[in-house]
Amino acid sequence: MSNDAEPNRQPRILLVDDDTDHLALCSRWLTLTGYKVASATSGTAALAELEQARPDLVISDLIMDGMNGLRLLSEIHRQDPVLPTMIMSGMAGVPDALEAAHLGVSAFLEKPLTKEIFLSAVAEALDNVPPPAFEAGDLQTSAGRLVYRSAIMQELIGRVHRVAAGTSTVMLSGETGTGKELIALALHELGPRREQPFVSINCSALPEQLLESELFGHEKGAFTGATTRHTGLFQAADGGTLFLDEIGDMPLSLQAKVLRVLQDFAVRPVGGLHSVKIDVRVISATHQDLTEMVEHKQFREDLYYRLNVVPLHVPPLRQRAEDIPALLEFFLRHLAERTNEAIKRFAPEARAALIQAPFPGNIRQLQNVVERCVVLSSSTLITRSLVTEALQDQTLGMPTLDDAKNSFERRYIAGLLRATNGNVTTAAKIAGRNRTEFYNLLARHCLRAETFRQRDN
Amino acid sequence: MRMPTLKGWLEACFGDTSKSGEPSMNTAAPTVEVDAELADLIPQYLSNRWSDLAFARQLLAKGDFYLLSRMAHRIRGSAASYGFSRLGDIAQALESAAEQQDAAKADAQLEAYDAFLRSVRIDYI
Repeated sequence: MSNDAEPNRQPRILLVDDDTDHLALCSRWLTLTGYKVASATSGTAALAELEQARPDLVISDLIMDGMNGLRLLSEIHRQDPVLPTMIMSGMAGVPDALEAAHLGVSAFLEKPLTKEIFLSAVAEALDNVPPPAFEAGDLQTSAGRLVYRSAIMQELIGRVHRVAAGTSTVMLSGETGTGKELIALALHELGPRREQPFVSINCSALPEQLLESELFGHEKGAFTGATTRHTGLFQAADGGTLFLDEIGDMPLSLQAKVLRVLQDFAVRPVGGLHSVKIDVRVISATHQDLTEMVEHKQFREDLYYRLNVVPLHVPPLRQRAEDIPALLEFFLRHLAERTNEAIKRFAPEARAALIQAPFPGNIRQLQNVVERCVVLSSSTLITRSLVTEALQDQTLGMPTLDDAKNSFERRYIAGLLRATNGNVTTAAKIAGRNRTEFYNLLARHCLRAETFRQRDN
Repeated sequence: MRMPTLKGWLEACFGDTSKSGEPSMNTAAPTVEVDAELADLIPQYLSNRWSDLAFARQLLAKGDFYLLSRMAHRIRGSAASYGFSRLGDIAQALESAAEQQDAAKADAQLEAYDAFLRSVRIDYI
């Protein structure tokens, strides 16, 4: 009903009142202000009108013959939990107000209304309308969607579009959880190399020897355990893009070798005699202050300048708080689709709390908070108290259950592969999975069995 | 149709300062200022008020104070919003009288209501 991806259309309002004079008056105020109005003189008529009117806001009188306003709004929220609603009444009691609050009613207006108060409440309720989950401006990548409305992100995405067309080396800076990998992928998929491989590696996740072998490859017999030839990621990304995440964690000795590749556009596998020409666009990312690391001799200055040809800074969430409503809507819809359950919504005060909250873990943390709230909320309306609780737990640094499970699973599989010397059949058997399932697990955690064979032999 | 009582007519035209919480006194025929953008709604609005008055009198004659109170409440809910604040005040007093099941007071307010509708002048602003 709401949330159409129709930019700049007139907001639509369904007005319900059994007093036809009052209905005519409010309708006139709204149409003169530029809203599109549908009206109904009973709750039953309103429900019949709902599908046709597809309103962004429903305003109902409280006391009506037949179905009263609260029953009507309750029924409407059963069909569309995110549709904002307002109640008007000349004789509301505290129980009505409490029930209205429970229903997530945006405003409870007392009759007789004044034009100014009425229109102001309408504007505020519409301002609280969850923004469309998807907008033409959002940037879709194969790994996820970049949802943004803020000027700072619009500027960044504008630069991403421009930079993507070229071949310059890009350095992404920004705090953990800001979406640097998604930006890197967008740079690749928006550019002329989109049909070629996008290869990603987290430089902090592997020990030095393994990282070197992963990046440059090795020849058979290059070192103890190198029983087969292994193609490195620079070569695997030939023609495409190599994303070096957490480049600040790369050991200094390897930094020199990466520098040489970037200077020569050639890579020589470990133990190899000949260099292989490569055509790779390198995008690197870090959450660390590389200039400071350069000053402290923890990062090579020459490599820094080689990587930092086009710097792009991904802003933290606190600098783009206006994106939070759209992100909330996106995550809520994504979770509803994933769990095949009805979409839940945040009560207005719960949304306000989220918009004002600091998110040191940025979008990743926001996503965790939303997921936790959705899982723990027993009704379709997520309360402020639940949000407060989720935010407090997040500040304790507790991972979500899914994150904890994933982390354990990765460590467990890596441990199995080490113990079995990279033998997939044996590892799968111990894990109680068939080979196909085990390979799927490896792919999910970006693990390669042969890496463990090479290392442990 | 019943003729307005003298008391009701006087209250409608001049108000009654001896009773707090009831419609205030006017010193002339009531003039209300109505938003010009509502001008085309006003004839229907006033026509509906005349219909209400006739029905309200029937309710009072039958002693149906509950429906009389509901009707007065409804009138009160929109009168001031249209710009007819005084009508809203009369409706509020009528609602109160109906809730108290005070037929004399209700009758007096209906007369005031009648007089108001007969004499009201509208300036569109």
